Amino acid sequence: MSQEQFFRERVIEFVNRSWSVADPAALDTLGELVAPGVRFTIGSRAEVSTLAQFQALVRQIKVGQPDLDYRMVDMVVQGNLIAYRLIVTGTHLGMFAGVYPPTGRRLTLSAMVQVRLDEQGCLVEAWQEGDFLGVLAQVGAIPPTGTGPLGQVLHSARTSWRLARAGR
Amino acid sequence: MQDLGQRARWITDQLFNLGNLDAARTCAPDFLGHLPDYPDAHGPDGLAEFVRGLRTSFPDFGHKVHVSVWEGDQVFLRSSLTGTQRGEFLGIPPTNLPVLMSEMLWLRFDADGRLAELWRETNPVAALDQIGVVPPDGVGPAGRFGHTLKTVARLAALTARQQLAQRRSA
Repeated sequence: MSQEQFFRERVIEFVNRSWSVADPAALDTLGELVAPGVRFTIGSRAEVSTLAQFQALVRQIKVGQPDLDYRMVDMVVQGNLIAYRLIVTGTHLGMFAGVYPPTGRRLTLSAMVQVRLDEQGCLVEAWQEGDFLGVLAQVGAIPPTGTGPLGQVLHSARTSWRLARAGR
Repeated sequence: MQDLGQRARWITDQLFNLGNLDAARTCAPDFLGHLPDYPDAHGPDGLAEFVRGLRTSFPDFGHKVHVSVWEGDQVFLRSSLTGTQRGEFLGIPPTNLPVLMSEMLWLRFDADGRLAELWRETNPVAALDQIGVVPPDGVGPAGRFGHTLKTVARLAALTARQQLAQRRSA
């Protein structure tokens, strides 16, 4: 097996262990696939940087969408750098992002991830960007883009009220 | 084989940094851009329209590529964007505030080396935060509501100023 093929399989394994809801315990074994001091950088979640914080984020997302499904769409490998696109879907049945109460809506997040591996094929760093704003619109937390500033702010006022009633 | 990593850097530099819309002519006639927060871009004109819109929101737009990953006919770019919001952005009137956004691009080239498809992911929530639209993290509903009221007033003033400026230049 070529090194690139080995790296490819390690990353697919990382994604499967992270996102599978059929085998939730796999998330706790991610330490086997990452280098000590691995660093995560997620555009929409500035607070996430360690493995433990990444695992907590995935757990929180699975609470919001217990039937979570994920699909790796494309992958490119060049040396020890790997990038892939990810589509994550699920029904909004629990608190989304720990904040937004269930709507029963089907949520879809498109994302891109880029990782760097060491020679053993362990993750050294991972960078992720996703259409988090689009998901916020799907849960009704913000209006769809193009509503204009007034619609945007009025909506924000309504959302504040809704969250207040939801007991936040 | 043509170095598509270089090609990807060239086209993004021409479009985003230099605002050279003619560079959009080099993409495939059936080009398709998947751009969250913006309509899908169709063909060279669609791509040019998207770039024009971004550079109207941020005339001093800066696009810096940090990492590229190239394999076969696809190139991934991780980049950061800077700019001063001097035009409307996601429905928000000009605030003249600086923003810094992280971005990822995925480019697919056709057999002739033309850009055929583009996917983009970025972090507009950070930008909305930087221009003061998103309430600070950790404030309760009352704080959110207060922030919203202040934002309504601020955006109304900015919109009025923008309309006045437009009328003057008309």
